[in-house]
Amino acid sequence: MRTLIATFSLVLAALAVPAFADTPFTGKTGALTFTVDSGKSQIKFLSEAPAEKIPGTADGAGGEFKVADATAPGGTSGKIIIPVARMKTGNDMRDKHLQSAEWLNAAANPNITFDIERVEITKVDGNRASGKAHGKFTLNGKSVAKDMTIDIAYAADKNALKITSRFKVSLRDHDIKGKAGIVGAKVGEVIEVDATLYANSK
Amino acid sequence: MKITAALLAIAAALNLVIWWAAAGASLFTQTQVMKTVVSKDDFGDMVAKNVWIDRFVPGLLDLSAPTAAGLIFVALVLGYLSRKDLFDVETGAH
Repeated sequence: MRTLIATFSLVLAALAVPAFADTPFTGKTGALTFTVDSGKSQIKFLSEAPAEKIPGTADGAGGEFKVADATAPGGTSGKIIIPVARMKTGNDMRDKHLQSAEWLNAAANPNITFDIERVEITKVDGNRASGKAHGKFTLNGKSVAKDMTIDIAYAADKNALKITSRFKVSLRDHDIKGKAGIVGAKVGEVIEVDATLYANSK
Repeated sequence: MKITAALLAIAAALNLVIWWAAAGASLFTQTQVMKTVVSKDDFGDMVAKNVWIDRFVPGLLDLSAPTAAGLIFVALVLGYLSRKDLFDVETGAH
């Protein structure tokens, strides 16, 4: 009888482990809501063209995302917002051009956004995980479906989250034409983005 | 007087090019330069954050080259205007 109970317990334990093994939110259950820490988060971008290499930053990223079920974070949704006005390249004139109607048209489209529709976790190692965030990336007012590779770290004691992602943005996909002859010569056709977002749970 | 001014304009143009090269040979003028600060975050990871520091770096295409070209042009005009003096000096030397 003891052997039977022990076996049954082991089977139950084995079944219980996978429920938490697919999530970095170890020990958490239910919904979690995170708000992006604008002060700590940073988006870096790089334009590489034959004539010029332009590195830049986009500070002030904000937004919120909700993990519907901490034990199964696939149902995560939310929105990341990056203000175009906070994009800098170290050249005041170029920054003004960047926000002009020919480029990102900050007056009409003040924010770059990523609407997270779902998250796919592919690997979990303790409170760290990696996977893909599927959603809609909007730049210059034009949205495209995007799958971003993400790495997640969760600090259970602070109930804080870090998300890092590297992805590329094609200017053509977002109808950014720029000044004639500039894209492809002085500005890269594809911009490399390196995002580090810190978020705290409410 | 004109010859002196022309020589000064050439010297200024040369200095400008040397300043541009010494300041980093940037294609476009930078009013701020990027500095990477590496620190350990709350998750125990080393992270690199880029910060901007106020520093003027002259650019080739939007400052150094046009200004140097303008100075060389001024020097050429001054040299042309003082061609008679130059000719006289050379004639006197011979």
